[in-house]
Amino acid sequence: MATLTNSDPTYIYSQTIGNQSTPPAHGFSAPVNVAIGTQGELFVICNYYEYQKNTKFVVKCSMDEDYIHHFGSYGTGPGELTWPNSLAVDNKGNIYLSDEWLNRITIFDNNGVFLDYWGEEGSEIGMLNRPAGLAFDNDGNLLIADSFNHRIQKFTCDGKFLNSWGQHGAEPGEFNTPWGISIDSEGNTWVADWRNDRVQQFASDGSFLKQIGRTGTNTGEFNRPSGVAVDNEGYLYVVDWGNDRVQVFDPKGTFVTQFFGDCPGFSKWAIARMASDPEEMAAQRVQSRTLELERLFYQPTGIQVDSENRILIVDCGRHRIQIYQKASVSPDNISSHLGPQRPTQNPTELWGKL
Amino acid sequence: MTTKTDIGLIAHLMRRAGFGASREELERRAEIGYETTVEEFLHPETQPPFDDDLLFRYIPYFRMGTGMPSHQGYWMYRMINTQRPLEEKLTLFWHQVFATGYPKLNRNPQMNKQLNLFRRFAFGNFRTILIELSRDPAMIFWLDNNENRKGVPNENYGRELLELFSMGVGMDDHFNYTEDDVKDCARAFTGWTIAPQLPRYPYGDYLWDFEYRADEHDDSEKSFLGERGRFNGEDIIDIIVRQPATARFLCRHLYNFFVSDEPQVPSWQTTPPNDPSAIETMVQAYFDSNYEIRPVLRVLFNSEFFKTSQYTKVKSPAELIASVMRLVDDYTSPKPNMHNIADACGYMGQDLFNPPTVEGWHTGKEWIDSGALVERINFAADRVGNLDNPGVRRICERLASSGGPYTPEQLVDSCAELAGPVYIQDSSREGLIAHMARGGAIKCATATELSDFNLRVTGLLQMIVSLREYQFS
Repeated sequence: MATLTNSDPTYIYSQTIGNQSTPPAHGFSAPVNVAIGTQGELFVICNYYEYQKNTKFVVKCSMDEDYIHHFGSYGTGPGELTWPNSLAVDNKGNIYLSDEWLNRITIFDNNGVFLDYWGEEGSEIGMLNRPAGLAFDNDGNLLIADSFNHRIQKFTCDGKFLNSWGQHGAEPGEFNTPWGISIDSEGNTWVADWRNDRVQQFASDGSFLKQIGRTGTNTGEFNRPSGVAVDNEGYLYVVDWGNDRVQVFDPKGTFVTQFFGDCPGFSKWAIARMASDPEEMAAQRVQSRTLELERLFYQPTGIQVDSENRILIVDCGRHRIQIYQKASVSPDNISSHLGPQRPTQNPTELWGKL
Repeated sequence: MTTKTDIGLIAHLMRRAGFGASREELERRAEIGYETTVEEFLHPETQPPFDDDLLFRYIPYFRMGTGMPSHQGYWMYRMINTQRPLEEKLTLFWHQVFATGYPKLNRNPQMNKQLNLFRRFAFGNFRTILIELSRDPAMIFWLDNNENRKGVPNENYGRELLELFSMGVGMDDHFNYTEDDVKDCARAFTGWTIAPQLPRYPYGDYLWDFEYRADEHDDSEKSFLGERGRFNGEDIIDIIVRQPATARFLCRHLYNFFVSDEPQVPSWQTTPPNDPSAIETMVQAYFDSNYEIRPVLRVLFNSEFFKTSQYTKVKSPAELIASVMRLVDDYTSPKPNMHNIADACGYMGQDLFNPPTVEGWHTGKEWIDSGALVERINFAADRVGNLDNPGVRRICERLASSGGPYTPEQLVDSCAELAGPVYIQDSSREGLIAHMARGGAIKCATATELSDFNLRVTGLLQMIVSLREYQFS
């Protein structure tokens, strides 16, 4: 393990979960979001082909990459998925899933058994049009980025409307097709205001607090931010979808550092996958001029931070989750200090260990 | 005031230089004028680039999926929704001429990269287009140029570069080049290959890059079309673009694609163009502009031979599908199952990214056989018969807004006008009128009448798109 940033705080690349695969093989297919269950288990939504029924599903796995099971399939019926976007887990361990085509919230129990769904398509208060990001607040109510209505709506977990704020626009407090949403430890709501290329923070009653970002590729700028998460010290993590990176901001909103991806080679499932055709895959890897591309994010979408300040980044285009650990030590105290984007292990050498 | 003639001519331009248009767009473009529209089309950079963010948000596999339906669906969506119609139409043109197939590559992002190359250089200099094509990894792999090395040349790409991509085998009953020219052309492209890349598994596809390997290039002297030198690929292309045969071949392709159906390419050595003076006019523009595509297209679209060529070309499947979807206003925003629309194109005989041979698709009458015709008619009739489609609803509402009643003649003529306009022969028109007359008075003043009226209009639209005439552009 080595540091990846010379920022304060320091971030360490930890591990990768996943590889490109469809059930029953262990892997992900265009994962778009992840949620952390009450027991620390992970639920990962996959939103891949529409011409193969088995490539839209939810994987339940552990942080140690133990595959538990998968559930869900492509379709429009109860419990089926068409354009699944986000997940959230309530305090009973039930899983809530938003679907931007079906305009509804589908509920599964912790084992993936379909329980119920709610949501009515429309623009009236309490109706949904392309529901995207989900987050439970401290009172157990569900906040939804109601993206084509350009607002945030709050519901009880059984779908009773409570509150909403925002409208279409680019002024503070307005939205353009918001995507990811997260609640910080003070109960404030952060929203990835996707087509406005910014993130916004709101108080629990929906009043505007602040915004960060503008259109661009420099630090502090975004190209369609899709996901947002906050750690227990108030540090903000924004998935900068169009720029293939994650940016970190301190509690005051000042840029701290950025990740471009650091996957050094194979996840556990990837190793198993490679073992299925070692000669062909190994030969190609050996011939490849560089392995640098393999480490980088490609179309990252969702993000979560767990109670141990592990940052889980859904690397959609590479069918995996890359995980970073926020370190509590100063970079000066860590002997192995690598700059961003440098590999921590050589995948070809790793292959040699199989 | 916009005249029917203006609308007809604009509709002709939209069908040929684009993928058709709704009645509302035709009227808007008729107001701004034909020549202005042509200039807008020739300068796509004046229009917004394709906005695919939403598409990739809802359907991530359109960007990075590995299966062929992924990219067929994505491309068809672009044809329907582009605000740069001629850029997308030219992309289809270059795909037809430089036909490259997915089944051998098995790497769809690479095919998408090739299309982006076509979009980027579509209007530019033919020399640049050929050089970029020769550096395109999809083309290199498709025609084995990665196997073309000093001492062990592979002539596949060199041969097709001359035969299918630039000069053609011959014209006016003579050959345009010799077998020795092919061999030395191939030798000039030795060392033009693909950089090794990561495998698809475990984390998905990575794009290939072009790589020039000097140690694999045959730098010895070559003889090509009467010139001698230690030619590399660029030198060969410099010679190619100067050839009268190249100008004739390229302009005949453009004429066949945009103006009127020509005989199939293999016969061009012995069969003269249908309109030699039109080809000659375009050839002149090619040389006057030092091999630029845009000036040739400007001459083409502003010519009388283009303006008078209405309904003389059989629509390709892609043209038919995209124009129907634009007419009925379906898939004009992201929606699931776009691959079904692209599949229909394949059922009609044009499986995008999967041309039957390196020669591309045969065109004109060869698009039509009994199976393909049934597919074409069913596809179009299903869409125009569906009142849920906004474009169909608008046609019904527009017709009903007059308050009626309509005579059968009036309704047939109005529907044909709003569905295209579609040119209908007298015998077909009489048949449609007789059919409409059998249903009694055509009224739309009350809610009950309107319900029946909508059924009769959509039924009539289905019959119009089932006519032989609707297969022509």
